[in-house]
Amino acid sequence: MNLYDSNILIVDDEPALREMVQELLKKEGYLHIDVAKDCKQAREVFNSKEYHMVLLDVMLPDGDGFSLYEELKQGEKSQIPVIFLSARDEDYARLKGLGLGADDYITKPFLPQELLLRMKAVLKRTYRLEEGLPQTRIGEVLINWEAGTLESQGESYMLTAKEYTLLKKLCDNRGKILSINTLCDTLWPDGSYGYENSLMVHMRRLREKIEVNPSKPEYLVTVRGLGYKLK
Amino acid sequence: MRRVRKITTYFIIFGITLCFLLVGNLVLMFFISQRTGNDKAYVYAEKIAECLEQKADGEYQMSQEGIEFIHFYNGFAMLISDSGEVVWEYRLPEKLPRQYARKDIASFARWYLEDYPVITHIIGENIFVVGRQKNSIWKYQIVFSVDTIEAYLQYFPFVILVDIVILVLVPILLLRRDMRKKEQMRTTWIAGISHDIRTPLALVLGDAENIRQSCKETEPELAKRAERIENQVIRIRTLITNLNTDNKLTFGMGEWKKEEIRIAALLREVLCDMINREPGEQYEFDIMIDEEAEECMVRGDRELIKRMLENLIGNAICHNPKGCRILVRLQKDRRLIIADDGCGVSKEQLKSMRKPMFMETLGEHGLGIRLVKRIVKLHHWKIRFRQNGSSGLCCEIEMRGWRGI
Repeated sequence: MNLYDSNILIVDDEPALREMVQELLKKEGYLHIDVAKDCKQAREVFNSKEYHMVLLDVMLPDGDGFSLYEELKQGEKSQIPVIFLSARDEDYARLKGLGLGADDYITKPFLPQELLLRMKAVLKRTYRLEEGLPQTRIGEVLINWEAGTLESQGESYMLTAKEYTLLKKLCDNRGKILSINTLCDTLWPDGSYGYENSLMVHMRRLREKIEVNPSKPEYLVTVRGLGYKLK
Repeated sequence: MRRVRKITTYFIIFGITLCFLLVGNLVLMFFISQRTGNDKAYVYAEKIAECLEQKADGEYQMSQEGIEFIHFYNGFAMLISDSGEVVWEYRLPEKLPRQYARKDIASFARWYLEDYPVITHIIGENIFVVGRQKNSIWKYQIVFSVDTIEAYLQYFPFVILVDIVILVLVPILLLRRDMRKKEQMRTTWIAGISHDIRTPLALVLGDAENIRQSCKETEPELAKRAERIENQVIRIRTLITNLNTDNKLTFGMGEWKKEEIRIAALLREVLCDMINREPGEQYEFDIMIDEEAEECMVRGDRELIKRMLENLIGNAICHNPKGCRILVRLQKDRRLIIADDGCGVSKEQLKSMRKPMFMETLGEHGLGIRLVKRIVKLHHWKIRFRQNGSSGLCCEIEMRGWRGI
């Protein structure tokens, strides 16, 4: 299933905010968006369709988002991922209590881009979706995600699992710096201490495959002390 | 430590006040007794008896001095012989008998003779009696077993001490409970307000970003303005978060978690976030994390430490809109250095940063620094501000304490 085919439900009591987020998602390419203005409406709407994700405001006029979330979890559709739109710092503590992670909430006011990134991350994580972009171009090189290959100068090379993961992460966050620790956590989710050197090696291999001059990278740049960035 | 000192102060103040009150009351009692003639309450019958002489012919005579004494007490006197006969009298009321049996004497010897308060004194075989006006004297008798008195002496000092302690503690505890309630209300109020501000801000931010995206190519000027709006909204957001956190720290209302945090990873996370958000090229980041510092763990609250880092770095950015070099170092002895080579701070500003900072005098940036200091204090770390060479500000934090929060 395509990412943008997901059914999204927005629950917030502020009409202007609902509208804004709806427009934002539509512009991004999401095709099915519904809204609800309070817990009662949310319950009704939620039962009417199969939703893939809920954007849930924490403070609602007839209840709070966390309780509603617990309620929704009880039902059959209990695996639905949710992102809380919170306006309070203390919500973080409650979230941890619910066993949710940082991807699952965003504080107002939020940068729209941040919301979109979070949604994408959560959807992909939950449904293992692909972005719908089967290929990415980096300079003269074309990456084929479905095949797991890299095409350069007419030749096709297989990417190793680690290279694939690493490159994907960088592409998904193109233009943004990713810290060494984040990348290590991505490659070695079970415990990434001590693997910084391995990361360097993988980056070097990627550069050898992608860059015209691996020693002077144009796209896969190092940000000294911090991490790497795909330009 | 502060609490102990406060209670000691309360004790001292209370003790002094109590002493003053006691002394004051005693002085008042003394004054009143003087005014109402309590000095006349006790009759020195012996002195008056000495003024009575037996003449050669067996008759008794009271000297002038004795008479004056009796008048002083506004009373009467008599001498009762061994046989119970009144052999001498002065102003003895008519109603009173002139002959007394032994039982009569035993009866009035301590208390009253027909409602006249009397005092007796033995002269040889005779009994000298001085009497007062009816209803002028109040006598009382204290009877205690010696064991009781001893027990009292043993226990009373302790009991009094306990009384004082309770007297002092009860109002303090009541007051504290009251203050706590007020603090809680205030924290909730501030949290509520900051919540109310955030939703409209979210809308403004969304719209501004919208405008910026759509005008990027066609109307760059407008896009720039929209970007400015975005930046200001983020600035307000930071301010609200700082305000809220500071408030919670002040009144100890927040629930701060103790976690083991890999400080190098957190530092990088914050820096990446900030640099990704603010791609201003006028800021050059120089980041160095010692290899041995990679594994350093600190104990503390993740959100608070994040806030601290964001405030420090954000401060360098805000104070130098034209750009500067920002240095971030994490050393293996868990020392974090954040420095910039921008416009720096004046000597007065530096001084005020080192002193405790109070809300009334703070602006937006002051609030951020104050919060940083408090978070440092909460984690039992140390922080130092100084000038960075010729210009710019340098901030050093030693995250040495293992205790954390």
